[in-house]
Amino acid sequence: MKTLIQQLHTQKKKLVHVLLGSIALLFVVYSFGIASTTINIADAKMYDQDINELQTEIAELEVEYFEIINILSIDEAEKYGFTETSNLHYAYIDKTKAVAYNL
Amino acid sequence: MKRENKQFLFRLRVIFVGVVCIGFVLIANLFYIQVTNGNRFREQADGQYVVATYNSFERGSIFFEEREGTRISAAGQKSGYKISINPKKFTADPEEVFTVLSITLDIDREDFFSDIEKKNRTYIEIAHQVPKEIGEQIKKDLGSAIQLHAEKWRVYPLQGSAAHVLGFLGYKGDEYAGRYGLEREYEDTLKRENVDVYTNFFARVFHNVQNLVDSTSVPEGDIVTTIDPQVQLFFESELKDIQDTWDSASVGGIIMNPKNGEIYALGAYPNFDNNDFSENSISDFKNPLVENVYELGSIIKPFIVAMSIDSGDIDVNTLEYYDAGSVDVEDYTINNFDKRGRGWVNVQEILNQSLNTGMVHIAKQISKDDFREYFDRYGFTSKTGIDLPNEGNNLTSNLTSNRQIEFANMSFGQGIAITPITLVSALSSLANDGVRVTPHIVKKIEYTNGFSKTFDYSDQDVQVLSPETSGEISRMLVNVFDAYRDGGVKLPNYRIAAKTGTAQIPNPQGGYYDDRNLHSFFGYFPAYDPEFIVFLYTVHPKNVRYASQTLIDPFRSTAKYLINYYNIPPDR
Repeated sequence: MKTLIQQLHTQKKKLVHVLLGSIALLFVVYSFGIASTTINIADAKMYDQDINELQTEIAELEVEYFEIINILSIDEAEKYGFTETSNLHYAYIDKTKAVAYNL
Repeated sequence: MKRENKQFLFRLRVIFVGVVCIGFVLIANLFYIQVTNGNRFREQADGQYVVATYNSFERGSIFFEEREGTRISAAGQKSGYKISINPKKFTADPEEVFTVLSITLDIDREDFFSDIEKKNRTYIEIAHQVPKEIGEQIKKDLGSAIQLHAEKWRVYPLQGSAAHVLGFLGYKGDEYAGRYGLEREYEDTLKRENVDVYTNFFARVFHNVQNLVDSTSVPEGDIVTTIDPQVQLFFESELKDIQDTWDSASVGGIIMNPKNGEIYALGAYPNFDNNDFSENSISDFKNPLVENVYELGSIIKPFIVAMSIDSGDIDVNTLEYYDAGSVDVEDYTINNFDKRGRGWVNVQEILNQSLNTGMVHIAKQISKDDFREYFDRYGFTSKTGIDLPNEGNNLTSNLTSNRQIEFANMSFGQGIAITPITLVSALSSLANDGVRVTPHIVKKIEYTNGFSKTFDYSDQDVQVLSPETSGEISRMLVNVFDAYRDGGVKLPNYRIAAKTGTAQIPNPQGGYYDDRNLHSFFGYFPAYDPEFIVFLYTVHPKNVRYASQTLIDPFRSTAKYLINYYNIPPDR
């Protein structure tokens, strides 16, 4: 028992050094953590803004697409010889699955 | 002495560790500045490319959603440049500069040359919202003759579609914020805190801390709406056709899901482009479907019939009425629209032929208290609570009267003025097993902190009628639609419950105009399990008398579009 206490006493200095070193290391790691979190937040905001602008560009292209597909009307189809289907029948399993056909 | 040495060493070590830690923090910041953002800061420091001031305007997006769930940005933002000149230091050839600028920009020649002459000025803007590529090319060509300033601005890619729903940004005094529509209603969610990310390092570290701990602040987010962009565009083209064909003073329409109140499309004319509305008058910005009230006329008749059935005051199978073309109520005479009598008619025929006299007879069967209670349940005496600003107050003061003439008038939709959105909400009670739903535009908010909020309005549903009454009135309205133009408009494979309305427009000087009408129309389908309510109206169409002439065809076209787009299977 006395030997253990003596051993602890002689290693006290080393323990203090280890403790202080750990505190310093933790501080450095913590600072890195804060810094990288902040950097990532700032970068995430930047990327959000870029995504926002890309989505706007995509929407403008979609509007062009809608304008083109809306040209395809019944009148337009008739110009090319298509006619509106009459005498339609439907086969359906349930509300979400239906097939149209005419005889 | 030995002890002093030890203390000195200890303090030295503490200082050494402190210096090392600070060194690491500085290295991290250096890494951020030099490696992550090196190019941008270099250019700003040079001052030769983009002027160091930075417009940090940011705002959340508003999305429309297609049937498969694909989101389209209906309100987003773009970045580019403002271009300015410094007349005091301008040494380039003005003619050459103007030539280069006018290739890609719309600049007034006179204004440009007069700006160059203002030698006491150091900053004059000559163009803004210039796309990046164009701005950079101009800078390359003209060098220091012009200055570029980074700029961001709000963009509405659908170019005026759903403008009344979206609203726009504008100044009120010094405040640049949402005005009208969702931009205003969700201003707190859409606005972004104005923080320049290029301020000092410690500001960047701490700038979000306040928001995290402040419980009163509204989280920032993007909005996802119930509007389907393809349906909106198609519907608006139908509304535009109505206005162009009949030269109407105004036109409007709503498409809503009667089961949950989601609005698929909402549009009105006159319209405006929220990207550029400088030529429009303020009255164009009002959303008439939410803010304006109208006496809608015969379109109210199904509500009267439904509440009479629901209260047990009439039996549709046995009630018969002798229609003489007119009926006296107190000191007034009420006529049918054509002043003709039909003889003995039943309730179905009263609806089919939209007989005012028959409606007066039906309304007499209901007690005034029941009448008031049902109108209250329909939502006619209150606002719907739709998530758009400035919802109008319905004018229903005649309900408090004890005069029979007021109730007689209300039985065919005159003497009571309601907003179109109130009507559509009430229509859901006819279509949806008697349950009235809350109409709404926004279904979800996605916050920047990663969380989201989905809106569920089902706890606000009101059971107005019994399911049996809802079924009965739907059956009758299907017969109404099937009978229009002797069966010429019905869709063979789909039951559509519908009704037209032709109402007189009140004259502000008293009475009603003789030569002006408001036409309205609603339809819901498939009638017994409806997916859509479509409502249309047009104010003062020219050279036409009845709503059946103006609105049935656009409705039919819209119904066919929705059936095809959403793959609605037939119900007969």
